[in-house]
Amino acid sequence: MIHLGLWLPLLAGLLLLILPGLGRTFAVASAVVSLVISCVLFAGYGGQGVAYASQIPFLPEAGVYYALGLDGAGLFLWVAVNLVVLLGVWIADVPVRFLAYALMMQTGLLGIFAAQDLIFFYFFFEATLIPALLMLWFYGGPERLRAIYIFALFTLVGSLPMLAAIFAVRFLGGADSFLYTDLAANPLTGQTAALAFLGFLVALAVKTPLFPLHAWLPSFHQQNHPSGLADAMGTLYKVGIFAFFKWAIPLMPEGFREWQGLLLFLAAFGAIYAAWVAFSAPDWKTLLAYAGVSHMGIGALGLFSGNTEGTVGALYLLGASMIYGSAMFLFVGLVYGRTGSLEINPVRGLAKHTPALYVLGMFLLMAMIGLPGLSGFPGELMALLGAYKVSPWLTFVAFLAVIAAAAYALTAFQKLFQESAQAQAVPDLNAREWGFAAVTVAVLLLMGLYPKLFTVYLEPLGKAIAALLGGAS
Amino acid sequence: MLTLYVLAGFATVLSLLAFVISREATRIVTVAGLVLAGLFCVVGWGQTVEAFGGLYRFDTLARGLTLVAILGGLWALLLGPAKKFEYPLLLLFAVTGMHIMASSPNLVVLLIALEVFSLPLYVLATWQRDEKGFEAGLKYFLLGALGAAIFLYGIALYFGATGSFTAGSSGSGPLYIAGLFLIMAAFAFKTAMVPFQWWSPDVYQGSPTVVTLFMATAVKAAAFAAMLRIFTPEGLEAWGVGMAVLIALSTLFGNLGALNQTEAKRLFAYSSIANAGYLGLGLLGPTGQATVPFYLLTYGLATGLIFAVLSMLSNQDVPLERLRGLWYRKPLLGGAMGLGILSVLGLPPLAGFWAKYLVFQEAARAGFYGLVVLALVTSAIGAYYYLKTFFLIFSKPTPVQEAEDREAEAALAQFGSSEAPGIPVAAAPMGLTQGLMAPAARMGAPALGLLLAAMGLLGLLSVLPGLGLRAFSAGLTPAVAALSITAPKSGSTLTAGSQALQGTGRPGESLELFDNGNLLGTVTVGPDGKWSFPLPASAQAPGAHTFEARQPGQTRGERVEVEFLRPSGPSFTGLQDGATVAATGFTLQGTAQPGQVLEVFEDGASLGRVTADANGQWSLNVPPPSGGTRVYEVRPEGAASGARISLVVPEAQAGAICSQSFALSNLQAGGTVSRPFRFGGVGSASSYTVLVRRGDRIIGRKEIPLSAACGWSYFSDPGPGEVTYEVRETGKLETEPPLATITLKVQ
Repeated sequence: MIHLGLWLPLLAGLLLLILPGLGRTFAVASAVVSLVISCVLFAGYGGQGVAYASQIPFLPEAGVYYALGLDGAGLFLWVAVNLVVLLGVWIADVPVRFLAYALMMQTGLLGIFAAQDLIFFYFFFEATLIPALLMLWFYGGPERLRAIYIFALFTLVGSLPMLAAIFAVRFLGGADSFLYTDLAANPLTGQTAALAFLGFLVALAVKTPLFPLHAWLPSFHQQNHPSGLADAMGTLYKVGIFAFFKWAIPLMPEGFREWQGLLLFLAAFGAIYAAWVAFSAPDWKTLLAYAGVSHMGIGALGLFSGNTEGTVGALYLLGASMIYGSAMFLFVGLVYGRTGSLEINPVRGLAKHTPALYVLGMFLLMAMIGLPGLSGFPGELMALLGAYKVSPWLTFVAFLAVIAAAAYALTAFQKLFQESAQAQAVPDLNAREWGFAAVTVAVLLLMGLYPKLFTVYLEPLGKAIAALLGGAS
Repeated sequence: MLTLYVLAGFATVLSLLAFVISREATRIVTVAGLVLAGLFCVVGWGQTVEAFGGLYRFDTLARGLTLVAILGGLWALLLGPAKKFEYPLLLLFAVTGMHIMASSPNLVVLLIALEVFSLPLYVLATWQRDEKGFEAGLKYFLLGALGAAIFLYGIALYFGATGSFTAGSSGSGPLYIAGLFLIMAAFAFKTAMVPFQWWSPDVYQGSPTVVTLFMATAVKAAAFAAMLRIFTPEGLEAWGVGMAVLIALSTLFGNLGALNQTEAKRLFAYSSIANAGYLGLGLLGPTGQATVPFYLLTYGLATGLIFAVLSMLSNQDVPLERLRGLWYRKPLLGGAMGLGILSVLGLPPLAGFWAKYLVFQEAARAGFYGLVVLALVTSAIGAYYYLKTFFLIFSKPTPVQEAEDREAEAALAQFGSSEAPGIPVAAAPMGLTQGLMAPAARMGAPALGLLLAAMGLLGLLSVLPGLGLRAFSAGLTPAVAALSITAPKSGSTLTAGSQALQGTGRPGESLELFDNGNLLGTVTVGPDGKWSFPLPASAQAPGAHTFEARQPGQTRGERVEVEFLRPSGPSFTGLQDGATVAATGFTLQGTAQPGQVLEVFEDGASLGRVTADANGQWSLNVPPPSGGTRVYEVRPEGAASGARISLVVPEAQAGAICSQSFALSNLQAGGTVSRPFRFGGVGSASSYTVLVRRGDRIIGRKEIPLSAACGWSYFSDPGPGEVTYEVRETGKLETEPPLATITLKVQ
């Protein structure tokens, strides 16, 4: 089941690439099956440890195993990714091949969360880059070449120190293979751990994204296809927090402690800095890009505080922001489809013509700025609670970013919908878009009102991290 | 063996026959010879054939790398010029030389092989009769000759140092090192490793593209086969430093030099230098015999694809701009080249990634972490120019390139490829778009098949790299497990108890084990290459211990440093749980806090109290117990429980002759004891009588017969208070002094 769930999107994507005639229906069908599989896996999860584990020797001579398995966080993120991909292929107004790349990328993302072997994790982590680059390459804006260079440079160069650190973790730690269990039983210590953690840090900070290695993100989003599908997939690709949680911290707890102070500082100041930049963003994609950096900063702050609340909050915020962040990009794609522009200033007063779109946008925006009752709130709250136990001052700084989010997002939103109506009449949501809106709002409410559905599975993981780091829970 | 006969035979016969048969026939016969030779490589894969008194050694390494050389030969033959019959002949001779080079452990034969494949290459490099071609040929020849001379000089020194021409002979001393370094320099010439690479960009650019392809893949395969035999991990200390320098310079220079190249063949010449460096990493590690051929195969396929596409575009220089939009103009060629580039770059899903990963791992295993980091950094630099080229291929073409395409078609027709057994455009096997047809038709079906097969094989190796690696590992003598200590891990902290030293070594070898420099004992390595040695109590004393395993006669071996904790509670040492002990009594020993008072129990009955000494050691003699499984427990004084161990006491054989004099094993000093308790010892009388007193009052007498194990034992469960036991031989008067008097305070 887990193998099918992992590889089905890739097969569907390849098939769609070869036979574009299958069309969007096929992509949607594949995404639905993926979502159903992940929901079945989630429902069948016992609540403890790594479930659905399977392990096949791949290159046993070199200690590489094709090992998959899902813990609570992995399952939660599987559901989130599959849901977002379904929403994306359902709503986005793009060529069929574009959908194929999105499906192929889905496999890479699912693999990142399911890999139980460090080399396979690295493999999925890197391979996901290819469809992302292809989407940008074939369907990007006029300045895409620059965006591609920056994106490829940051991710490729960033991940090489990680590869070096991966070697160090195994060979200096003395593990017999790259299996998670084996590596976790032989953690690195001392100076080596600090250096190896730095290797992971560089690669993962790019993908968190963590200030100052977030610089690829704005141009990546600006140049991607205005439909928002590529941006949604890019939002899913921000797996840094998961990778810190799953690999970097458990394998090098001593290394993490060495860098913890700096990381907390970077996370908090990254959050406030990105919020500041988002104020002056000229268009929606830039605004959302920086908003994403800001939110991930808060999530990272929670994770780096190393206690149960912080970790659970960070993971929950990660999953929630994957959904509302991606949906926000798709929503902006809908606006683009009606007005032909993503800039914040020229388009105004849409609410008059499109009340339903307006309400959808309102829900998404409120989730994004962390209104209680919507999906952004529980994660943000827990992350900040966790951080408060470690560093009240940095928490205060990050909290300013939360307030700032309300300010910049509401300002832009007000301009788009509520100022004197200058826009020409545009159509409101059609049936397909109603479907998207209904599912999105339902999920936002579910995650906001009943976070326990997922946090019960995240909590043991948070406790394990807290115990590993020896801190109070 | 048959491979050699086929290659040499076809080459010799064909050089006469070529005068009478047509050029086309020469080509076909050559292809047949190469394919046949390749088949004989595959038949009997994993087996080693030796001939000529060990001068020829056809093992997995030779088979694999001969296949890579044959692959290079096929590329060059099917894509190359067809107007002269010398071309296939020269290729066949070159492949023969490479096969010999890959299959001989003898340095003199290697020199001959080097000449056999170099001479045809000098001619092939000048195939284009223009200034650049002559420059390339002359440069290649002069530097090649210099390289051969250096090789010869190195062989002389090597022979002087080791007294043998066999590659991999062990030796030492400056002469040996100098010889190895000279040989290394000669191979560095052939594989274009820095600082012996100066010829390569010019020669690669000046030679016809197919010949460049041949040089980049087949020559590397042959040279690395020989290097794998000469530079073995056993001699790493002698040559490792030199190789590390070559690798560092090659990866740096190759990747940096490629950055600002504008001509494709020159660019990939620099890339080839860098890849020679990465290949060198594989030599350092213990399983390079499998990983280097795997790397060469993936590299041969990927670079083969790249150069094959370049050769189809033009037989002259290929400016990078020519590649713009190749994907849109000729999808098959663009796709093939894109795949090749991504694989050479080492992007994770592709075979090139696994190959790079494996050789990097070799270096990491050998401890060259600095080189691994450098190789990773230079790979990142390399990503820039590979991706630049890759993106060019996938950009929209401009009319300029389309015009150039037409010119190049005409030029290629002149060059002679058009004489390849062409297939009608309509009958092309793929039915693809017209952009594809032009090259497909000119290449001919075999070349097209080779292109597709290479892409397929590259894809297969990407999905299942283990398949390739396992193939290259087949038949290798399992890497001799070097001496190592696998448990406990160095730097670990242990609690004293039933700890054992474990490790690996050569099967059957006996090793000496040391604890802080003191000999602990010897252990023999088992047939599975593993050994285990239970640590005696003294070696588990609290504090730091350095355990060392040495081969006999060596002054240094493998070491682990561990720290033994002071145990929190008492524990047993020396005896494993479930061990069988002597029925005639034995000694329990263990560790505890120094000075701690402990009580030892046997199935709940006390055997008395002991005090741990200053080193935290304690011991207690157990009087002969009755047969069966007995559970012993050591508790701190007054505690309810402690460490347990169960031991098997065999039933003693009846009828033994007991000659030991009387002795009391435990409770000699008396003292305090919990009830019930047992004391006893050995003796030779048929029975003993124990008299029990409380103060002056006699409260009991008991006769104890001697057991089959020559032991006597008294079990008692009196009330609290002071009790005195007197042991006499049965029949002695109670007024006589007893053999033993034990006064106990029973709790």
